[in-house]
Amino acid sequence: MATDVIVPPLGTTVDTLTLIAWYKQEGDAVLKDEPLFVVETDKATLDVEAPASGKLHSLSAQAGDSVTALSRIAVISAEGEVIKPPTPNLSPKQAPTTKAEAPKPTPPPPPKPTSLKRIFISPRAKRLAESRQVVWQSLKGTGPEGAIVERDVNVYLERPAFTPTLLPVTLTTEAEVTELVALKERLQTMGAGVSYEALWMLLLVRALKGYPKMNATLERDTVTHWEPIHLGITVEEGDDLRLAVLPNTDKQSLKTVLQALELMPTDSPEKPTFAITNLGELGIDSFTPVVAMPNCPLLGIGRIKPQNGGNYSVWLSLTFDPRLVGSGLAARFLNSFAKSLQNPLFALL
Amino acid sequence: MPEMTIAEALREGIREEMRRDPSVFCLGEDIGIPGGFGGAFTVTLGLSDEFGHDRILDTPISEIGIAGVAIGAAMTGMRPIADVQYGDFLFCMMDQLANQAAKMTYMSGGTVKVPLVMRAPVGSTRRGSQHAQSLEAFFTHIPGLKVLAPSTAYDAKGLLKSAIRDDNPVLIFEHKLLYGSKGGRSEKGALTAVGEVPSEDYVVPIGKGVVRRTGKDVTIVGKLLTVYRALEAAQELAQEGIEAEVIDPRTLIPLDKEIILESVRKTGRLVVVEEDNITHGWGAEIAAMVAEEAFFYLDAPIKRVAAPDTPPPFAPPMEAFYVPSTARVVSAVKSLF
Repeated sequence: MATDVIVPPLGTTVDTLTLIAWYKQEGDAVLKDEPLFVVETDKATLDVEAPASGKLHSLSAQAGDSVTALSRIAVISAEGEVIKPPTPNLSPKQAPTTKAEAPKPTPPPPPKPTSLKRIFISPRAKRLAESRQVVWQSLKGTGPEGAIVERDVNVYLERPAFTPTLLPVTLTTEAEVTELVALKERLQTMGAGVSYEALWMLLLVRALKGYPKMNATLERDTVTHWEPIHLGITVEEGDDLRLAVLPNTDKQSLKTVLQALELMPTDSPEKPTFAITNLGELGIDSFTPVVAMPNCPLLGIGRIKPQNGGNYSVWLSLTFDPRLVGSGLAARFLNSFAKSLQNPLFALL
Repeated sequence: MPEMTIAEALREGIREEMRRDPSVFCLGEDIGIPGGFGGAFTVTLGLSDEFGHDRILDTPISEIGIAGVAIGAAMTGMRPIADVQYGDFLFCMMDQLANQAAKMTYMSGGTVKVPLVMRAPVGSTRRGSQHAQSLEAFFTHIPGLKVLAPSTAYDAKGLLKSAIRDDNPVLIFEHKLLYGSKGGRSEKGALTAVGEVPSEDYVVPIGKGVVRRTGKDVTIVGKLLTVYRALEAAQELAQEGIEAEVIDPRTLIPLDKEIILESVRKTGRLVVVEEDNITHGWGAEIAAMVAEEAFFYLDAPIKRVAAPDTPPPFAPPMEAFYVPSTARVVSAVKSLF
């Protein structure tokens, strides 16, 4: 079965990346999980591994091209599979973009004939490779006349597990919070002192209910979408920030959230399904919410800043592991959350 | 346990068998003449003192005569040991060996036995084209003959005794540089293949090879002198991290295929070393056998190290170029990695 080679959603605010280089050429045999191409985000370059083993073909982007996240830039066909011209990309948004100066959309190049370069492998190596399901055609031969020999197969079999160099993705937006500031002040004058943390948490619960896939955790390679919402919140502990969890945040009222925040349960048995970190009160406008790869989405909330005309705004930064949620979904969620802040009363109903 | 050269071990074996069985006798050129060497390489030296000239029979210089007498005697109940002064002279006897001795048992439906032993020295030792060939392979191609190639004193005595007791015609090839012949019959460049040889009666079974050195990276099969070249090469290779396994089949017909196959299955590489001309040779047979029966275990092409397709040259530098050297074995092995 043919497998599409897709540009992973790795960007930050935009979903366009630069294809730096292919490690393999049209017609080459590739092995699942070996580095296939390298892309550059606005933060880093990173290797993307082959999604399957087989023959690489139908390359539609070259080194230097801009490519859109989630677009297909090549196809890997299983050994012996008849290579058909690829069907056009369905989503126009996901179509690979070529260099800006390219004047006309060019159809994908016709598949080239199979490479005629013959690969030599010793009978012993071939026997070993096939018994261990190794696609030997892409191994580098170190034997006589460059033939693949047993040790080449063994080197492959004993290779360290390939660890993808994925980076956490951070999406940032500025939200208007004039109404939220007014609401807090009104509650204050009514004698119901309330913290921003409590408000953030309740507003987040509301937003997450519209985006259940954002309420998720990643353990090893397994993504779990959760029904209950366990919000984590970073609390200061000495010079560091530590994550406290308020279990079943979605079942809490403003009052219980406030009480909980007073007590600040730092040893909850629940793991957070979503977390926020609020550095606004420390005077930080905007930041990358975490350094290590988080295992749930993490929303960073910056300082509430007065704007012209008596308005207020805040920077929101959503960090997540791209394996956990897609950039598009995360972007829509963040946008939805930011909008909900404009009318907090509605959200808190 | 006494240490002996191959010549001494063979002499011991002949002596024991002649004492054990009165039908055993030796014939050949100058093997028992008073004041002689005991054949060309001292194997029968002194035996006529014990057994007399009726059982250590000196013949005229006539290989056809020796073959005819030996084969006829074998067919009529004796167990002759014919001494061929130089293996090259076997060509004189070809009809009698190939057409008569080898076929009699088949053609008589098994009623005629030919318990003949013929001993023939081989190997290039600065004696020119007609006294230097390694012609074992010719005889491995003749059904009905057994062909032995002992490379140690222990095997020489043990295989000779097996050959004498065998009811089929057996050719024993002995390498001139391995005899350890002394005095006027010592050969230039000879190895001192001295080894422990039990004084008691023992036999080495025909058809069983031996691993001379164990290794995991490459199998080197040699025979006679090339076993030693292979061992020397293995030592050099070990210094470079290549562990060679050296197999000495000892018996060419019947061949211990399994010892070779088992080794190649382990190492994945095979180099066959022989002193004979390369084309259509014994090495080709070993290579073909392994390619047929252990192809999927091979990690590299099979290599043969052999003499070029010319007669053995007389000039010492040319002879040195002609015979497979240790360096050539090393180089062949390295080409497989």
